[in-house]
Amino acid sequence: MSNLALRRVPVIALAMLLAACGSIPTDQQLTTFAAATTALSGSARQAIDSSNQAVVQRKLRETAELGAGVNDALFTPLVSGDPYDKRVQLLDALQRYAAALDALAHADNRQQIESAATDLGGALDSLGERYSAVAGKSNPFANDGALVAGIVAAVGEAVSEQRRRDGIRLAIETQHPGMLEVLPVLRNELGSDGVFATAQINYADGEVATLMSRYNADHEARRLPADPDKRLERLQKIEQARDAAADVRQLYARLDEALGTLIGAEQALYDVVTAEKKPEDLYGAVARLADSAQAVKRVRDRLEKK
Amino acid sequence: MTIRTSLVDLINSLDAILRNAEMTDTQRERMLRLRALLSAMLDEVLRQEINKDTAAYQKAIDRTLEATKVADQALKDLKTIAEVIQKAAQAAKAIDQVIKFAASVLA
Repeated sequence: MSNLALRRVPVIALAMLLAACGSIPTDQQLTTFAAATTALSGSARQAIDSSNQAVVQRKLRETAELGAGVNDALFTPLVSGDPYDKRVQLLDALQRYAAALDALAHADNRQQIESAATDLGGALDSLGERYSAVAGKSNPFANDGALVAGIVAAVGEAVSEQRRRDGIRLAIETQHPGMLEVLPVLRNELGSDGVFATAQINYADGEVATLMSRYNADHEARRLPADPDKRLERLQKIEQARDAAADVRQLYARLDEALGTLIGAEQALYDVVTAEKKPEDLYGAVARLADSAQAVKRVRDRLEKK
Repeated sequence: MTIRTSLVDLINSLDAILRNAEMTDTQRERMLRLRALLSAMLDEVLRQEINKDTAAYQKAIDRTLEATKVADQALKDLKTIAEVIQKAAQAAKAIDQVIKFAASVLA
């Protein structure tokens, strides 16, 4: 679904020409926003797992290289247990938030409105609680059910296009201040200067340094294999490790960029519903988000193949 | 400047030596041991909430910067690998005063 939705970006431009929808995001914009946010959340979760794996791999390499003994600490990733769960749940909640916003935009009857509003309220509660646990700050979302009741009341008994849009406007206005607290924390953790990038890059760079130093030490001691093909194999392994290190850097640079565009798209949603910006600005912001989420996925796919 | 950034810089400089300098097995082993220790410390720095307003914190940064400078000079043959190892070990001790991670290893 996410790939298909990401490819729909040009459709948005067409819709922009055809539809004058005032200051409320179109259904298609919210679908693209949700698909890109979902893809980004998935990439972020995988980045956490890759970084954790990289820390263990690094320690295994060090232990093997130095002929050291083995103990439980060797298999401890960067983040495990409760801190790991909270981060993954935060990303899950972000995904649920985007999906609920999309569902709200496509709800055709009161039952669907209630269901989408309830999902949205639940996602924001979860987002706020996980943010609070990860960042050590108070929950920025009011956990009192007022949003759900407000959306349902705004839409009323007979769902009309205008009333549904009133519900979307209320949802975006209500959640926006909290989202502006949550999203920068995610970027701080998962961006190019974040803890997961630092740990994974350290592993990738260490792998290159270890392989190259071993080659050089063998060269110094005249221990390199006599067969040039064997030497070539070792050099090619070094080249692969260098490529992987470059890709890891690129992954986090793209992730950083994508999380920045998510913050931009979230702001654009708010600016459009509060009439501070024109709908055209939202088209651009959502398209940039979709493109950047796709860019992250491309680097991630390349890394997974290695 | 933080311990985290200065520690990353030091590890990067040690990596540059490992990649580019020819060295004996003994030197290589010492360098790799130091890299492993500093990497484990980096993991810990990434995990911990560290109070930056202490003298020990600033001392750790100063020692780490000093070690990085010596490592960079060694790449230009202005310092020896033995000097790099000595300075990096001093940096590790200073960092450990802050994160309390490897005291037994460094004693």
